[in-house]
Amino acid sequence: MALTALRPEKVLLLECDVLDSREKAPGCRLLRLDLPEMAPRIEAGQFLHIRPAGVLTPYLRRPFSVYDVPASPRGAVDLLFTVIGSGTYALGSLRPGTRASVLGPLGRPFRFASDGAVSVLVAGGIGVAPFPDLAKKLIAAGSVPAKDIRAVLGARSRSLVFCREDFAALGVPCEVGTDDGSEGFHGNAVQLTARVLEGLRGQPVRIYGCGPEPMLRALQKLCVERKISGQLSIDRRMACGLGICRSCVVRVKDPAGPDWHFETVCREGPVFDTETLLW
Amino acid sequence: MAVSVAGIALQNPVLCASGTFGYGVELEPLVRLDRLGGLVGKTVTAEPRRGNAPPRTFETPAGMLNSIGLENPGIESYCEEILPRLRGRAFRVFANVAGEDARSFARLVSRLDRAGGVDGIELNLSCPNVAGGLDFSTDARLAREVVAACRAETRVPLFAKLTPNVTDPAPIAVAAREGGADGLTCVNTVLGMAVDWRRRASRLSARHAGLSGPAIRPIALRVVDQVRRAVGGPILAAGGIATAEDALEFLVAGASAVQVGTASFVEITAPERVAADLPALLASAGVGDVNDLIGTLPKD
Repeated sequence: MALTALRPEKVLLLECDVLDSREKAPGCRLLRLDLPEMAPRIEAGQFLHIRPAGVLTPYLRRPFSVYDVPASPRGAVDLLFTVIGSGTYALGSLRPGTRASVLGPLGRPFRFASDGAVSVLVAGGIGVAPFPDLAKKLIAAGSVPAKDIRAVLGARSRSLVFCREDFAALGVPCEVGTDDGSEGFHGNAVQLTARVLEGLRGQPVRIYGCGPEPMLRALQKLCVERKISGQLSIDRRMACGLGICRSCVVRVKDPAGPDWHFETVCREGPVFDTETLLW
Repeated sequence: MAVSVAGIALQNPVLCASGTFGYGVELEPLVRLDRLGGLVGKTVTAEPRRGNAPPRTFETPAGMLNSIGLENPGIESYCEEILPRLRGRAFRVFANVAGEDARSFARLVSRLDRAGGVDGIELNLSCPNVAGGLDFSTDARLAREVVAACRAETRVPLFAKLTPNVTDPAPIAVAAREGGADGLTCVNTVLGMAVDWRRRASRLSARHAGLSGPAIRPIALRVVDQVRRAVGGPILAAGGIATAEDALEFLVAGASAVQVGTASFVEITAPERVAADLPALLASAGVGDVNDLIGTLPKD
């Protein structure tokens, strides 16, 4: 068990004001928090671990990818999540004037390089949450021009396709696929990715994935088969967010030899390389 | 705020509970360890352990279930890499160990004794998450045997960590003291379970798991009371303690110091906050010295 990777000096634990809370799409909440100290520290792919301030239930924090660090209002951080249980319900019920307790930024961010590769961001449902910020930072860092990014959004149905407009605003080409064929390509995100890759034949590609585990496993298989370097942002039930409670472990290949070890999604993740992740 | 527990001088009566704070040092400077009375490390075993397959935890009302399975780097790594980083600090260092039988417990204690730099040793007689783990503190004879074997290896104060999962904790507490324990830690987690009815499956890879958090605080308090009345102190209390108010309940009930556990998963600075809040809270009740409060609950 590695005692490395976390940089506690970069992590803050604080209470903050809720600036805004609204329904971005049916069942999908956008929560805007006032985090002027934390905002500049956030790297694309990191997450915040939050809970309503001053309550006993829900007891544990919930981890959410950072969806946006908007230029205005300064210091705001936006999180995007779907309401699925009592924890997300309570957090979705926070309103301006209430307070949240926030721990972050946590986890290892996405890595990127300006090597001319096309960055394909593959999202399943609410797994799209970290990608508008990643696209923005890829472009802002001068690493990757918008035309060399593709957003591939898969969802069960049209109403569950989130964030198209964010990619449009960034000038990032966006492909949509739905399981029921109600919008775009009729099929899942990974099938759609295979089609997008056909169109990019001959160009170096880097894949970023985030979404439900079955989708990510299929995406990992695709990456391995096509010998494409990929990074997957994965989600696991977690308690502390700091690698201490050892809840959110996944199996990762040892650097040398055939064996494996556990790494925590909160601390060594949430972003893992497709080559080493064994689940 | 200073207290003495089995001859160990603590700058205040607040420790972190085993398994809820890692080994402490990896969290600095996010946490300020030097504000704690003591730091109890995560359970260490003879060999490194990967622990159980996930899922390992599940949230419950005002608490959580865990079945981590004693994931740890092993006693050698603990003694060589972690203990040296804890030397010379303001807090006292408590190691926590678990063995498979009295002999393996004794070997772990002997290794710690040789390593030095450990102010107290907590014997995890009651981890519910490994095969047979609960046996040592549900059986008075076994508890006595394990503690006695460890006692023979060291003069460092020993604390037996007891389970609440028995009809009566008093005979186990008596046996642990007879075996030579200097103090008792009450309590480990309460056995529980969560089921996903749609999948017809347990929520955790292990069928049963340990419940912790504020949900078990009344149980912990009851066990502290029973143990105090059976054998007296010193007692280290653990079980859902998250605030200075909680801590003082346990001190009044007879604990000499408290351990903040699951609350650290919610707020990693919970132990130092509890310690920081104590003086003002005591002052508000006109208590100048925390020692004047310890064990002031009438025994009957």
